[in-house]
Amino acid sequence: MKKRIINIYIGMAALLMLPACQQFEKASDAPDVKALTAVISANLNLGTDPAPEQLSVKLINYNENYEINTTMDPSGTLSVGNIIPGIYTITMSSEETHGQYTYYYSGSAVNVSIVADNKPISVDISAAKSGALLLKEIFYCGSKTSTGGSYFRDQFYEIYNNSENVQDVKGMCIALLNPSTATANLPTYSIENADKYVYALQIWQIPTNKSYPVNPGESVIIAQMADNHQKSTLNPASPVNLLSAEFETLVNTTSIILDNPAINMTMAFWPSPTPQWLTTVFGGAFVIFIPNEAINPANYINPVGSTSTKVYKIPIADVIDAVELVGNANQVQLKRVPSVLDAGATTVGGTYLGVSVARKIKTTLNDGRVIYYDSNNSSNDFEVMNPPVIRRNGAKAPAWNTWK
Amino acid sequence: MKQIKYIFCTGALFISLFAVNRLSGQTNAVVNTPASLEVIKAKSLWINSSNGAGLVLDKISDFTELYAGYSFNSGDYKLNRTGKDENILGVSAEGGKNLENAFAWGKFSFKNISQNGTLYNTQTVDFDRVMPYVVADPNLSDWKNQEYKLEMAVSSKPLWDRLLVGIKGEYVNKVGAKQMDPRSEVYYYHIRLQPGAVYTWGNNSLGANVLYENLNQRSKTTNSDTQVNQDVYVLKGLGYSYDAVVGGLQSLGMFIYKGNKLGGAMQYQHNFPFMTLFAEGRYHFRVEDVISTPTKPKKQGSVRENSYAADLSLLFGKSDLARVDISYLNQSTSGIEYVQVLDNSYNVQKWIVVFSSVRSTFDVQELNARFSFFKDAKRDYKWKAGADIKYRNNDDLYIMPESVEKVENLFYGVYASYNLPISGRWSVLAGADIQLKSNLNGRYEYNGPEPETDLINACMIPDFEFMKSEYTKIGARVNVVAKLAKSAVSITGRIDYYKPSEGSNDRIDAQIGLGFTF
Repeated sequence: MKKRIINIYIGMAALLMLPACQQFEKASDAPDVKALTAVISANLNLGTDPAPEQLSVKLINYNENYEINTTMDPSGTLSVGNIIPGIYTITMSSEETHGQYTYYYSGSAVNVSIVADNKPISVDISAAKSGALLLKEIFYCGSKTSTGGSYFRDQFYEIYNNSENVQDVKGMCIALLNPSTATANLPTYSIENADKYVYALQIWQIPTNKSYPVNPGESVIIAQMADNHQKSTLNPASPVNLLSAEFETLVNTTSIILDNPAINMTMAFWPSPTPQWLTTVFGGAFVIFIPNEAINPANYINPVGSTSTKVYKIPIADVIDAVELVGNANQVQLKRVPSVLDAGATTVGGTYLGVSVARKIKTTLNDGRVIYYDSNNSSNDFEVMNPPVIRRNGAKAPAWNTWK
Repeated sequence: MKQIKYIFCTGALFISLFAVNRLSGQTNAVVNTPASLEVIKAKSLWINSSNGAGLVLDKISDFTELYAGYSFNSGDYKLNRTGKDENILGVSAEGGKNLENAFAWGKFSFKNISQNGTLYNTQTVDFDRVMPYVVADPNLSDWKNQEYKLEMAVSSKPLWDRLLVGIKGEYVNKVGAKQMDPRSEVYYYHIRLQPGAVYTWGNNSLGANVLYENLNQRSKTTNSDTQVNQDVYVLKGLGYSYDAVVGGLQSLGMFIYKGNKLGGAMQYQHNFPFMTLFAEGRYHFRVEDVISTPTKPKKQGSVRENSYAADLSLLFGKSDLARVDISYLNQSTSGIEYVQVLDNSYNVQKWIVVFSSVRSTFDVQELNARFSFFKDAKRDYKWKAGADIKYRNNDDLYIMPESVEKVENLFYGVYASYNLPISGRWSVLAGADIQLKSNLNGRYEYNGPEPETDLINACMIPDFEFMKSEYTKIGARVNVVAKLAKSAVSITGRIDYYKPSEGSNDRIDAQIGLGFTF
């Protein structure tokens, strides 16, 4: 009897300890962290364009808020040390003048895990003459009312001509990509060459009935609602008056939503429209593009596993500019925009803050025209602005905007 | 809530068994008082050890104590996470019972805690363990907490006149609710079992026990005002953190903590003619994982802890009792962080761990010595006096980028109590103590990416300054005791006043209560 008691006793003790064993084994394997080295090289895909003499290299670990900056000779390799193990976005960029052109060299590798020493990393580098039209400022997070409520009708998107030449925005589209907010649940698509497209939930198009020329240094404003948001019936605490916007995304008029002087855009694709084009105040992903064929809403596709979500595929080759907006810096890992379009992301870091993201000034020419950064990396190119301002830094409205 | 009622009822029932049994069996017994219970525990060497099997060797007489009290803490001399004011309503019951040649001991306690004016604590109710992976927010808030603790120990009667077997157990349940956005509901429990055995021969006893503990905590944070999202810091230790938001589609998910602890201890007792020696060596290994968003689990970190401890107790005399306790603790906790990638494949969609490494370490060394003397301690004592000294060294390191926090303190003090008979059944037990804290070393160097955040300037640096600050504590306590026919009733009052050597802050910790001893 006594022996049986002791056996039961020992057995019970052993049984108690079993659940812990697997957890202990995993934790025991973790070594002390040590600095790593990565070997980085540039893969120049330049066609007939001249090669850059030097590239700036940036390694960003968004989770750690840790950044390493250096430079390299594009023809060789670069050994970068002092790397904390983690997930990195590696960008290379350079701006050089060859002959009469300014070339922008850029490339990036996104979500690269550097967890072993001397990891080789190759970054594809392409060259572009300066970008023409770009998303210059986006006010997406909304504002607070004086009573603490949330106001979201004052969203706007400013598109700027950053080039030397006149650009026509006739037929140009702005699209909100799927999913509307940065999330770990990124959808997949079962189509051929799925990685050659981005997938829009909603597309608004500038009318195709006439030309809308935009001169160098001019910008056009696309407003959710091109009204004076500071008037008493809307939100006197709003930072913006958008009556001078060139375009608005009017769905239907209501007692609050008026048909303002701005030109109404065409709702080219939006399977389930709501009374206003409210894009997520947490930060959507946007592209502007000129479609190479008419948009047919019936040609939608569904993400794998979803029949309720309808998206329209846009060839990456048609995209003029893209900006990834996220809720906070840690969500860069949840990117929706391919890195070839935007290697990073920008954020105001909250909602209803009454602040915007705007491109940083690269240079100001003798005639006062401002050239903005366009390295295809929103993490580098944008900064948070308080308050949002349309046509800041002297940007002009096009001559055809007679209501400005 | 139903679970909490069960815990309370179980505890109350468990303890009342001791009380009822004691009363029914007590015919010519001498009544226990608060002073006699102190003597019982001072003479016991196994009751505070890890091994319940040795309880029989303590030869403790039966006792039961019931206590209900209210305590009040107030003052600015505190950590950020501590309430500026705290009100605690507590009930406890403890009992020991000889069962022929076996012995059983149990204790139940309940606390209802209201904290006002806490900062930088969003979802933590248990600060007893090292856990760097927690959430903090800068909003001033109140907390409503409840704590339940059930403890038991049983020792068998001797087997083959040589062997004692026993078990010690503990169940702790804590629930808490933060009262301002971002507000949390937190549920915590741990259960600990320590089966053990003791072999005796001659004047010697050799014991050994194992330890197993399981821990679980769930913390869900939401906003009452859904129009306003709240920014929080998800901490990683020494001020390293990442930003997150409570509210909206990107809201911070639930945090779940799951931990296991395994360990063991060995004890040795030798009875000299003039002294009893008791020594214990303990070791435990703890691992605790922290995950967020259980529907798509992402590891926030893990801790891995190795702890070594040794205690030595010497007991001299019988009528005039002297006791010396020396203890040493060496605990090293490693903070493990994970590199994870999101596998977005359809039907998979989960975070994959591609690398894990120790990013931080939290080391503690503690040496404690205490001397107590009880005059005329056959049952109640006439007076007691003592002194204690404690050295504690906290040495924390964030490895990359390197940051350090080191606090080395010395605590020392003296105390005395006098048991004054007033009349036949009345007596007053009055005591006073003074304790000083000296800082030997203190250094906090944060070399992380965001040195100018509120987290660093308003939380980490002030908390470090508090931990290394020097203070004088003066305390006084009084028990007015009335002996009844089969029990004693006591009214207890206690006050401790903390005054740091620098600054105008201070803190008062006061308590009143009503106790019954059998």
